[in-house]
Amino acid sequence: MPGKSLLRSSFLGLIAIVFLLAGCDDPSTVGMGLVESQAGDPEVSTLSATLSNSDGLADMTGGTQQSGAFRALFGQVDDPVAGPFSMTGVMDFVPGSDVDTAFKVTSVEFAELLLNLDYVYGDTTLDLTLNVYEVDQAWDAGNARADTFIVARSLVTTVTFTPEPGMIRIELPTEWVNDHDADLRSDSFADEFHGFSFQVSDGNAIGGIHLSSSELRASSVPGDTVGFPLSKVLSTSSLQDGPQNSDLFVLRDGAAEAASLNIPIDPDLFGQAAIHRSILRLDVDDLTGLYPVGFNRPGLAEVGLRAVAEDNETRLDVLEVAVTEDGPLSFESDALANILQSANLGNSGLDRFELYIPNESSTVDFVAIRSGTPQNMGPRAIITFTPLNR
Amino acid sequence: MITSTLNVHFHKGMRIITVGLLALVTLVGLPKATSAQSQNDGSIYSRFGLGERVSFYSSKSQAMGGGGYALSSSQYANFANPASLSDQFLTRFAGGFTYQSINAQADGQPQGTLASGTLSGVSLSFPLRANRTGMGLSLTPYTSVSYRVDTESSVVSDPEGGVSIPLITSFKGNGGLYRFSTGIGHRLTDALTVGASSELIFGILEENQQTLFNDLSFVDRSVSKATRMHGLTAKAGFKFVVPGMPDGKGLVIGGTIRLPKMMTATRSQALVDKLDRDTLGTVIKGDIKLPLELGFGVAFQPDPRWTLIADVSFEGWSEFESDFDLPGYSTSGTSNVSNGTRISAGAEYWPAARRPFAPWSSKIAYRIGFYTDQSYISPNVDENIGSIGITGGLSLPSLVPGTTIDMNIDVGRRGTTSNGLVRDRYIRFGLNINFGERWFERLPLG
Repeated sequence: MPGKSLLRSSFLGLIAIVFLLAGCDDPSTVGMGLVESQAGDPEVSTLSATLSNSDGLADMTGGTQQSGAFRALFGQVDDPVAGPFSMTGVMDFVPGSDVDTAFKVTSVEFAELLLNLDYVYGDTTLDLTLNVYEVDQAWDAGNARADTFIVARSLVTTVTFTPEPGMIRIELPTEWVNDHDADLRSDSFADEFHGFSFQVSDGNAIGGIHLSSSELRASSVPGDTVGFPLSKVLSTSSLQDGPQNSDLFVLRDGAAEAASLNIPIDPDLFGQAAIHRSILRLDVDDLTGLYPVGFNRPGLAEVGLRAVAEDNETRLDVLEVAVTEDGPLSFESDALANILQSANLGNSGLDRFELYIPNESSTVDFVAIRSGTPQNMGPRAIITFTPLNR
Repeated sequence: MITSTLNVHFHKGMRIITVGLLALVTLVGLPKATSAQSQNDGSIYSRFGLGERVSFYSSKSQAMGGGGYALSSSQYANFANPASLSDQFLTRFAGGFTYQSINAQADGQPQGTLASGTLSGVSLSFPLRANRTGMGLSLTPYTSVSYRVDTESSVVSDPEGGVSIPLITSFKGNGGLYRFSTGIGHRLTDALTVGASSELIFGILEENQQTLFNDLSFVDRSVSKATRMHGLTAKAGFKFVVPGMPDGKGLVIGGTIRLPKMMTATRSQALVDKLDRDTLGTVIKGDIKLPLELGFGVAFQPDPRWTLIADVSFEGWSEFESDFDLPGYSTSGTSNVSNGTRISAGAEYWPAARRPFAPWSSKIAYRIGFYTDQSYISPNVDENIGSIGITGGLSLPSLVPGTTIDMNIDVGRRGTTSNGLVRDRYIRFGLNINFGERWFERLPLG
């Protein structure tokens, strides 16, 4: 009898748990006529997004061995699509580990720059005439931007070379070597010498010197040559107007930090809605047939989208997408949908979006984005939403 | 001697099991109670007004049709009538769950089957003076909102791709009002017992429209409208033992009145996804008036083994007022609200009445009942929504004196398929544990 009761109690306990967990159901449309919508049926709307040049900060083009940009870009180019653009490359060196006491006790007889040119954009059929200036003052590469002004008044030398990837060797004049003999052998070389500025006076290309495998070399006696590795780089540019072609918007690396992008998601225009999906689509022109033979135009790898708050300082990176030759830039993520959702409800403080090129690029590449209305395949946001009935 | 010792240990074991089950019911049930009835797989009719009216006074009365205004029992705390709280000599802790399965039908639509489990109620009661004055606390549902209607459609989410994406729009309602009652009953004379209770009525009614995509590219969001309310009201009751009945027979009449009450309420609307909840607009404040409730019942014992009851209750919902639009009720004047009535009757057969040493099988109580009611609100002003059902139950005694495990069943139907409405056929199973023990006893001195 007790055993049966115990069994029975346990059985009842199990039934209780089963009741708790029970949830087998097959809901149907029964009762559909007895419910009222708080919201409408899902809809899709294509909104015209607006791309414009940002009046904000210039691109971050400074870098060191540890972080930031990894190339010093220099040159000038007249792009058939993007228009004229020029850059000045600034670079500085530090004594290498082989700069020892033996080197320092004897006068420097010879110096040269050995530079790793690993990036070329522009007409590779024309030589570049490069003017090398000495930088007059100390400068900081960390977080430096393309509009940084670097004073470099003393022309050191002028060289001409064909813009092709490879090592460039620039022999520094004897006068310069003599003038800097003490600096090169000084323990305070980094304080006494501030680097070189590269400016192109002739040619139609922009080259990039990589931080690695580039150095200033100096010899005291034949056979005793030491290296001063490239320690920091900066590329400065003058921000110039965009393309003459109004059908295209040029987003270029190394110029402005970002382009502004506005999506009219606010409730006054769009109505309050539950946003389920947001696709920002930008058609990219492949520019086929617009460039002459021998004009090298490396393609951008990625373009990023970020949200900017009304304080114009707070930024939230949303997504970076790969640039492909045969497809549009298509930004789609839950984060984008959620940002637009908050903006639609007036809760986010969103001011605008920005298109940017990731800092890791260190190029002057660009993408040409179709302008105009969604009907003309211009920038557009495709929103799937449920309108709210208030 | 050894047998006696074993029995003592076994009784302790059974007590632990029973209390454990009760604790399980309470621990699992209370969060559901305080967060409202979280399931939304009940009747579409629960969408209207303040929800489907629910009453649970005790597992005994539930199995006997759901009334019990004149029901007296030392085995159960009967919260139908606060006067009944006087009939106690054990401290009682009771709780239970109800599992419900509904088959919903409407003209021209496939049937829907919905199932859910909810808390029936929990209560604590104890005598202040045995069989003379007693108190009780109970938490039971007052209304229940629990429905779900799904409709399928599709949308071409990317016009440039042209692919149609299927989606489900799910209309859900959940929540309901709970009643926390604190009552006292006192036997004035052998014939007349009176009682009163204060009742805190509180809860949330939530309507939800969710758009669901079976695609990770989409964010499922829902629009949720929540109306929270609370108010304190009072209930009074009496029981009168009709004198002059032959020996072994008993006739009791009982009645209750619960005063109308204006409840304080707020309403908010929000947009909800799995990570966030954004309030839409501002929170609106207002009042909702609960109506007068009257209950009357008779209980008759032709002999100690049989108990027969019959009850009728009235709720004056025609006086209902709300500052908020509710399904079936509009503040602009259109209202499908009418007075609600309920009639029920039931019987209990307890073979072991007045036989404390009867075998276990004789101590099982058998109960049966029926009820019919007219809902206080209808989706269609031309149709009153009524329910009719039969109830039954078994009360299984445990080896812990005063403790029973009750299993109830309720089978019925509600509504009609005419005028675009829905007919529900439902079956409910109830499992209740009713634990009783002597507490607060004075130790004999000397």
